[in-house]
Amino acid sequence: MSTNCRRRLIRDFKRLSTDPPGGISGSPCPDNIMLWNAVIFGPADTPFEDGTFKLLLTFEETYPTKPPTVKFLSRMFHPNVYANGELCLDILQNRWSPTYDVAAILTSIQSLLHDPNPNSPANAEAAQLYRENMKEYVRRVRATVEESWLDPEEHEKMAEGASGV
Amino acid sequence: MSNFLDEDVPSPEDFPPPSNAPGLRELDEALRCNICKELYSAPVTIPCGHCFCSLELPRLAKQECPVCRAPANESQIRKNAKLEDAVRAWNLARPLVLNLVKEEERRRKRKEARQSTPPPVDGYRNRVGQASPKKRKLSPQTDGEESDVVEVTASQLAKSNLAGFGIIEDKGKRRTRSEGRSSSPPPRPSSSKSPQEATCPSCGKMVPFSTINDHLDSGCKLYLKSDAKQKQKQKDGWGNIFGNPETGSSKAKGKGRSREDLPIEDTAEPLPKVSYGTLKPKRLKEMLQELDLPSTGERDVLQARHQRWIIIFNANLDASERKSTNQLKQDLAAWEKAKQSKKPTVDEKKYERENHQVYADLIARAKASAPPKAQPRSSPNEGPLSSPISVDGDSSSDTATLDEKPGMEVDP
Repeated sequence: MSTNCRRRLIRDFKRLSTDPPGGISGSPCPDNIMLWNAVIFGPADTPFEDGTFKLLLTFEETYPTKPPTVKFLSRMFHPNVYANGELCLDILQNRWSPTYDVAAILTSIQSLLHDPNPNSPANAEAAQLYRENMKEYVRRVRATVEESWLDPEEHEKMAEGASGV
Repeated sequence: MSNFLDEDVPSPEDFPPPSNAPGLRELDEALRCNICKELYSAPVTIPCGHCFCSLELPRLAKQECPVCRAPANESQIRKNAKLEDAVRAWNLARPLVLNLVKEEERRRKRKEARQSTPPPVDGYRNRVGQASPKKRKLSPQTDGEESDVVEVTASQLAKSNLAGFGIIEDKGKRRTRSEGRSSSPPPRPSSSKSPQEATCPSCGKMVPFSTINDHLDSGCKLYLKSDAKQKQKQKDGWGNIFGNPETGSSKAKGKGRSREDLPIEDTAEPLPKVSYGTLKPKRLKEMLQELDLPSTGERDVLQARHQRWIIIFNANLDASERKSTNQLKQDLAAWEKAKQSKKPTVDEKKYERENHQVYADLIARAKASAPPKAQPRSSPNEGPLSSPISVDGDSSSDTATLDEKPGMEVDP
């Protein structure tokens, strides 16, 4: 059965694979179009540069009337990303418009890496460091960038070893 | 991974990029609703000028345009008949245009391939062949290719009744035609009509061959191939596309069909909105029964069903090719079924591990599309140790990080 939501997601995929925005890629799970994997490459001239941040997008039949759930799988240190990877991004909440597609969502997240909004913090520590101690903020972000290059297994080992970072 | 892309879901990306087919992707995109991304069905306009499928708009409880966020409310929605005409025409023309464009692409690629391969037998012929297309038919190989082009084009034209528009006349295609004539089937647009007809040299319309003189004598008034017949044919074509029972399957329409199967009449009034707050489930059930809709389920299910019916019914009134009540009921059922599917739940850590390869591919693609940097730094693939930045909290690395990135903003 091809629902409106499904057709829309196939179109989103066509658009994203034909004309991908720079430093962004994404594709639905081969066996479930409601589940998408995406990667955002940390934008140049930001502390996130060269990071390969993995995301998971979960859609419901209400898409595009309602936004998908977007989560970072990679650990993030960003004023607007919660510890569990969820994002505090207006266009994924009250400013959602049904005209957005996956490419638009990922582009918005990429620009959020560029311009954090410390006024609506999801990570209070990151927001504070961003405002008051840029040096330390950059250091913490760089740590997540390096983590983003690791395989999931290495990741877990690291989490077990050094719990402080 | 990309089998979703093979599904038959038309989108602007079906057309080649603007560099090869200027304007076509844009045209296809312009005729699509920004919300559902389908070609407009029953398009409506709001004061800012943006258009949406009528079915999509009432979902916007926000009183603003989904594109530009300009204020808009439901009473300002107007149907856009002209856009609907344009979409209807594009629906008919799209397959043909797509075919022509793809054929053109293939031809261009073959040409490029030919140019990049060394001359086969004698260099002279090949060189000349490229400069002057007429010579090309000396080579049996190229001749075959070209006549292939003609056949596709001619049959497409025949199918679409566009023969008279002279599409194959323009640009470089003229030579294709003249060459094609040397092979068996005459590629004239006339291939679409039977040999007993001819194009009148004076008015350009099709006339039975035996009566062409009488036709000319009558000042091009007599013996025209009936226009009415052609119009009916066209109408049938639309009917097939839009699934309109009145035009599409006029034969199927018999005595057995009830009023429910007929398109909703022009005189039908939009259903009024209901405030559900105070309604008891019993009353809701009655209301659904009055509409001859299923009345099973909890209160919120009943309410959602009733609400959706009003949306579907009223949106249908904005369409000039209306659906029947039964079709609308099927739409409602499909909507309700889709609504029941559950949100997928995922164990993220496990998921990430299982999809490791998928993410590796995505990373490669994201990197490839990332804007190039002036001086690439150490490759991330070499692992964390290759980077000068330390993860362990050693403060000496701070300076290294910052020195290395002079462009970054840092508080003094």
